[in-house]
Amino acid sequence: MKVAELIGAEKRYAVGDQIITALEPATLSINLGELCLIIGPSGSGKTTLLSMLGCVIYPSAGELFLKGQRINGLSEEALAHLRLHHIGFVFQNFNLIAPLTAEENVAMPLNLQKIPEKEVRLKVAEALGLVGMLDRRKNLPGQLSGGQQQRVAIARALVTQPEMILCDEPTAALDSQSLALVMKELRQLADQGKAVVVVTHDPRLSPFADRILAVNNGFVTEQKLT
Amino acid sequence: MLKTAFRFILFDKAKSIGALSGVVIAVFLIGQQSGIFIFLTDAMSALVRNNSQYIWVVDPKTTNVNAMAPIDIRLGRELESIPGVKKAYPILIAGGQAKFPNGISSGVTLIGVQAPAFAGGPWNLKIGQPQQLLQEGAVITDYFDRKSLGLSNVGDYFEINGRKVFIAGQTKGVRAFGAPVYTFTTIERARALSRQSPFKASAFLIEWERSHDSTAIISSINQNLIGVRAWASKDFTASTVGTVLRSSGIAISFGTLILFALISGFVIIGLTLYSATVDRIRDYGTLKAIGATNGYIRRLILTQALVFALVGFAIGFGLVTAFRLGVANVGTLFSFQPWMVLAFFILTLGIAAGGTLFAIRRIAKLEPASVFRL
Repeated sequence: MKVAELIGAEKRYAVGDQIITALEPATLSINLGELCLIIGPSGSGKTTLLSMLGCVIYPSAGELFLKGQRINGLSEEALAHLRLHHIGFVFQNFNLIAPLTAEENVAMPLNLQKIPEKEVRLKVAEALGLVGMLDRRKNLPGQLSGGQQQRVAIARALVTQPEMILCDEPTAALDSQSLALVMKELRQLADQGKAVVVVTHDPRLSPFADRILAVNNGFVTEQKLT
Repeated sequence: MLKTAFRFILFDKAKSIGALSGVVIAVFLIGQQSGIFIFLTDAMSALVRNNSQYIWVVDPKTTNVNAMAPIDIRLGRELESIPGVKKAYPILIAGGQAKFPNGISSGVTLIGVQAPAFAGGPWNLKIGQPQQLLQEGAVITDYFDRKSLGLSNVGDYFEINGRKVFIAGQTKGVRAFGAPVYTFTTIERARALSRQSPFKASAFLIEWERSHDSTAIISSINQNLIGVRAWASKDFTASTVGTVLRSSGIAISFGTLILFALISGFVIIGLTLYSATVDRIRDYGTLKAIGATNGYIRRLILTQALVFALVGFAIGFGLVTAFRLGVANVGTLFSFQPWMVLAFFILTLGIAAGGTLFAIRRIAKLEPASVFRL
């Protein structure tokens, strides 16, 4: 079942007099229950594709649908609402909010959704428990290792039960042990029915994927699994 | 929201102390300058404000109680013939030179009032009664002017214009504005000490029948008597303050200082909050990416500013109160009306909220997509 769909979606930026094409027209869909890798060299357009799927940028042309809703032309406020309720993000540098503890970080999307405090506490404990970080819930991000921070970031991404989780190089800053842990968790989320999209150029992630999209010079192609 | 704002504040202690200092400095400087300004304007009009139960009748050209032209004493009879006027009390204000046993000399402002009513006479009396002015050579001076009066105390003798007087009583906080110290005595003695004509007074203080309207009496005096002008005490106070402020540049001086205090507070808070926001740009970007709206982030930054404003106001106003109590010991007395405290607080909120403008502008321009590059 499709959660996100691009139909001839492209992204161009004007830099001075020049028009830079970040993503050539692409038609693809992201489905629930699959872990999709987006691979490609630096500057190829992977992050542009991820940003578009995450409703943080609009396509310059073509169409983007999230859960069947056309995104083009929605207000910033409406996009923020969609991201908050339907998409979870995991970033390369974890992007935990430094002044907040692990549990406060995980609680943030729920607080933004104005969920009652009691329910927030339960959901946060559950999410942190899922990634094995419940015992470090009172720690600030600076007091956690890279792998631990990424697990907290995953807990934050899944705490609102979004249909789609977008990960931008989630293992780039991790050692191989933490990499395996994080990918196992993402794989589990896909198996539980979430759509998980992972941008990477790390070939070690291929075994975890159901599908691989290759991006080269802005062109998106489907790659066969090896 | 409040909890998150506190977390942001406590996380970057150095910047938070910077922002707080901006508020404290602004509140203290504004409070201190306003306090001194209030003291000075109070001193300018003290004589009128403390005799507000009377209608003031002065020379037509007089607009300032501190610089009154003499008027004819016989006008008193004419004033008392106006319907509604119960009594016209003359008051004489004249200069004098005092010399003390320890060799110090000083200028004094003699305020001569008529017994037995002593209208315009000493107020805030701490030692003695106005009736004690009836004793030969008696004067009443202020506790805070002891230094100017050669450290003289109640019972001590000194000379005014070469004539012997003694301190029969003491007021507390009856200070003159930029003029030699107030020295109360009887009108006859004030004339004798200052060698003024017995036919001259500086003003008449009019006591009126309460069954009559004071405004009508003022109009009646101004219409029927030539060579005088009657003022409601409120109007004469405003005229005195206005005349002194216009002629002295005090308002511009204090206004400029207060304006600079406002600007410095605004700039310190603005720059500190902006800098703290830039430091936390990744956090704000992350918040936007995960679904926080610009409105939420605006409120988050404003809440931090509000906390700085509340804490800064409490500390700053505490310091102003300490300053007020400290200078009260040397006779610089002022107090703030509740509306003034409220105005300071609103001003503080304004400074803090205004200071967030740079930070909010920066965050509003931040694209959520930037979080992938941060």
